[in-house]
Amino acid sequence: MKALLLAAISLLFSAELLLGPAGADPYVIEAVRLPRAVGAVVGGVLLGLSGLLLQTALRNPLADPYVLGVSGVAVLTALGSYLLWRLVGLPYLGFYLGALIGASAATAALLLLANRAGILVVLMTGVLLSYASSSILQLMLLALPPEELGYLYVGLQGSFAAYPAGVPGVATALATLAVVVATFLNLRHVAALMHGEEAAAGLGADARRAVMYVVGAAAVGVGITVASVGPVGFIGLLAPHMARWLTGRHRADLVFIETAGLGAVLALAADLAVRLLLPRELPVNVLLSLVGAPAAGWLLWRHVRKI
Amino acid sequence: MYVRFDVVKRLGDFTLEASGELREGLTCVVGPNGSGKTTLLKILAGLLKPDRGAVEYVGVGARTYVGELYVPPDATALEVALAGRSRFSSLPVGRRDEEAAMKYMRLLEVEDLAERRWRTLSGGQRQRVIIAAALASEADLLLLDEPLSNLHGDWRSRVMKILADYAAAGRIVAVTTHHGDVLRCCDFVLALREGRITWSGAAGDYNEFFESSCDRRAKN
Amino acid sequence: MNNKLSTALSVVAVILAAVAAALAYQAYTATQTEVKALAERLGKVQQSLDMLSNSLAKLAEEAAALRAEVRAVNNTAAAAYAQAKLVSEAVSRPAGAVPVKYAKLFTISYEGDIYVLTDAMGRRVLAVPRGLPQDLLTYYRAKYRPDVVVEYPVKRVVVMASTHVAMIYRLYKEAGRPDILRSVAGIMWGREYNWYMPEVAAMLENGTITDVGPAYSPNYERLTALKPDVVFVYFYPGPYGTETVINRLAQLGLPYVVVNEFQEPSPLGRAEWIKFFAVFFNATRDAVRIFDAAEARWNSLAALAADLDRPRVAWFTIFGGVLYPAGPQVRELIRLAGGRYAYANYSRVDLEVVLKHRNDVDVLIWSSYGVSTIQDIVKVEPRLAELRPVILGRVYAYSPAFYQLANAYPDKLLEELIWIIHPEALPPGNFTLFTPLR
Repeated sequence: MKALLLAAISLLFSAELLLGPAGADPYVIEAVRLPRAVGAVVGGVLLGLSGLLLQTALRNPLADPYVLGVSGVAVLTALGSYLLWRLVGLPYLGFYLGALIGASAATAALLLLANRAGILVVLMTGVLLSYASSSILQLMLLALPPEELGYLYVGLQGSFAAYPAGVPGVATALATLAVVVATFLNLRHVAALMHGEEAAAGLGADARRAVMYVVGAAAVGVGITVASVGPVGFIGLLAPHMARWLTGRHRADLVFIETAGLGAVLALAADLAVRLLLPRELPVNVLLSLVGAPAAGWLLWRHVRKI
Repeated sequence: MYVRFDVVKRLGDFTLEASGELREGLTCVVGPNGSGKTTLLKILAGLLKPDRGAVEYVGVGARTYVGELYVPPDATALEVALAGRSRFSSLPVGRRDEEAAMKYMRLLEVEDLAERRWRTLSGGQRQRVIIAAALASEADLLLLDEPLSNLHGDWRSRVMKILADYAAAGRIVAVTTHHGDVLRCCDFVLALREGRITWSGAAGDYNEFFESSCDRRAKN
Repeated sequence: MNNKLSTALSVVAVILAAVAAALAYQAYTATQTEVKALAERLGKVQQSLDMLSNSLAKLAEEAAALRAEVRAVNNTAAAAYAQAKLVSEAVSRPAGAVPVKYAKLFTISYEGDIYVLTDAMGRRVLAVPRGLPQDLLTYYRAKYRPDVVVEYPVKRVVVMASTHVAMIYRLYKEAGRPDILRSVAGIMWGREYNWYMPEVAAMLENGTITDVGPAYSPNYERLTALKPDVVFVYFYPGPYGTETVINRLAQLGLPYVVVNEFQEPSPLGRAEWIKFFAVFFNATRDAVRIFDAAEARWNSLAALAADLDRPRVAWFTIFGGVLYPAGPQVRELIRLAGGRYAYANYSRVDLEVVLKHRNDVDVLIWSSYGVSTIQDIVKVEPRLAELRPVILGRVYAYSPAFYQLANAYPDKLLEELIWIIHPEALPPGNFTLFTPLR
């Protein structure tokens, strides 16, 4: 399975680099397609990983990375920076930096909370953060004339093409690698959380460290993803389930690599489909929703059936 | 190796006040429902902090507590057994962990169920897998809360024998039960009632009107 | 002879010989000494000759070095002279700023035929004429440190927004410069829109203008193939906004300038961006003339409408059950066109306000397009049928060309509004930006 995934990723990555209207022009590949391909891998890996960690710790198969509210806050600060430039004339930080500021603040707050309370409190805070940031966003948008709102709503959708090139891109990729390695080093304790925090502690896992790690890694993963490619949905929800289905395994530390791999595969495949199969470019979220919503529905049905 | 405790813990309007000692071997903690057996075990495991007093561990390395365990319905039996290997490392479980888990599953005769989904297993099978998980931790102090629930007669005594063998290798094992018929398998008995220890000592001295269905292990 | 004689003779001979020998020896040593002295003197002369030749060689070296120095000095002097000539030339160029009265988001200043512009993102743009001498270019580059340098007149441009195409179109039409229109090589969203500028529509149809894909994700390969001299973009944030596109353009090395005319608070401010565009087509004077004419027309229209009675004008649209009223800019526009905004006393306008004043309104302007009859509006919200303008048939809506052309033709905007509000003062002609609804 791992070998198969590696082959699939290599194939899709090469396709992403080489296929396109301009053919195999090396200049276009480097400037336009490489950031997009890397963005898909980074987003897919981080979202799959975050989804797996959260589904394990929350013992809920329908948890997805955005449940922590980090992406809402990140988009809020990014848009806030734009509005400050537009209305007051302060320098525009750029979407990447603006989102990173919000993501860092939300991550720090959630970690502080995880340190003092259990993961359910963190979850509730995350949901509240999501609603609050969404509402504040709508309020902020009142400052703009209504004709521009349509552009903004579309503009804030996720897109792998937005992945930064140059130094920020390399730094983001390295940060992704760091998150993956750090997860690997904590994975057994996190996997024990599937039995509940107290049971995991009883079995000898460091449950508190595991919960802190889940919150921290998921928040950082979402933060990096939203800052670099914007909010891309469904991969965080679906990749862990696909990995469990394909490997026949359930424990987080036994499906981790497959989850990350499948996240990358999903992202690359979606981006290739948007680029090559659709007559016109749509936000990748649209395609993922078209596939993701029925898939999530099927998951829900299986879940309900068992109860 | 031993564990000495002298603790007070209040939970709601129930108060546990207990002091005593656990020695190497198998200890049965008995008492009716609500007498504080689970509370005591959790305190000994370090999962609950006593309001007053402390627990002293002498020569004890790792501790494991296994009681009510939530298991996702799609997890396999082997994966549940692997949960017992959580204390050994923070890296993902590997071959050695699987072998250890299988070894204990074999001991409880559930190794055929390794790849079966949890929801397809009977209560008794699930219980034995959970016990295998507990044993797989190879802890010096093993605390099992109602390990015999869902097990019927034959397996009750067999599990007690397995636990006694485990303890005989120089470990402390304490199990709670409200079945009286397995007391003969234990080395020690701790009796609780309404949050207080009413009796503690060697099992042989404990008078109990149930017929024990267990053979006493021959002491050499 | 006797022996005595011969002996005496012999002795004398011997003595003579001895004396001769001594004399000869003397002469010999004397000659030796002379010769040695001569040799010494010759040696000295040789030494002096050597020293002389060394000195001569050194002199020759120094002469060469001096010559080199002189050459260097000459070069420096030449460079300094060239620099001085440059600076004096530069300084002597007429410098100043193109007057920008209403727009706040761009500036244009010039030095001779060099233009320095700031675009909507505050980037400095240096526009230089083709064939500018290299040293002047270096000088100006060093002086202004621009974010982008563009040679004008541009031969090939790519345009991101239809409103920008409209401004370029106005420039071409009213300056009589077909080369301006011909330089539009690519438009984003080209084939998606209906175009209300017939030449542009035709050029898109026959492929003279390439459609380079949607603005939020253009076909970079097609774009690069067009080799544009400049790309006109607008700025929206976000991964799916034009922010990403701009980053890509920068990465691909394509020169771009940011035109956010929609951010200007006033219609004249938006239209004034025509001056910005004009610099790149070497049509600045024409643009100033065109704008001044538009401004003059605007002012005369406003003067015309200023003293007339003010009919009450309702301006809103309903979308998805939500009513979107007129913003402050539109209210100002209504005032200039000689009308009175019907809901001026309300800070918040919703359907109940509109219905409450259904009989207090003279004209209704529906601020979106896609409707062609009054029935269409009533279909959106049936209770609007009770509005007085609806009953009287004085209902207008945006035409599909409104968003494309309004920014570039503010004078037309004001004119058509006066047609709508004061048909008695200015008989209506052919509506372009608004549609009278039947």
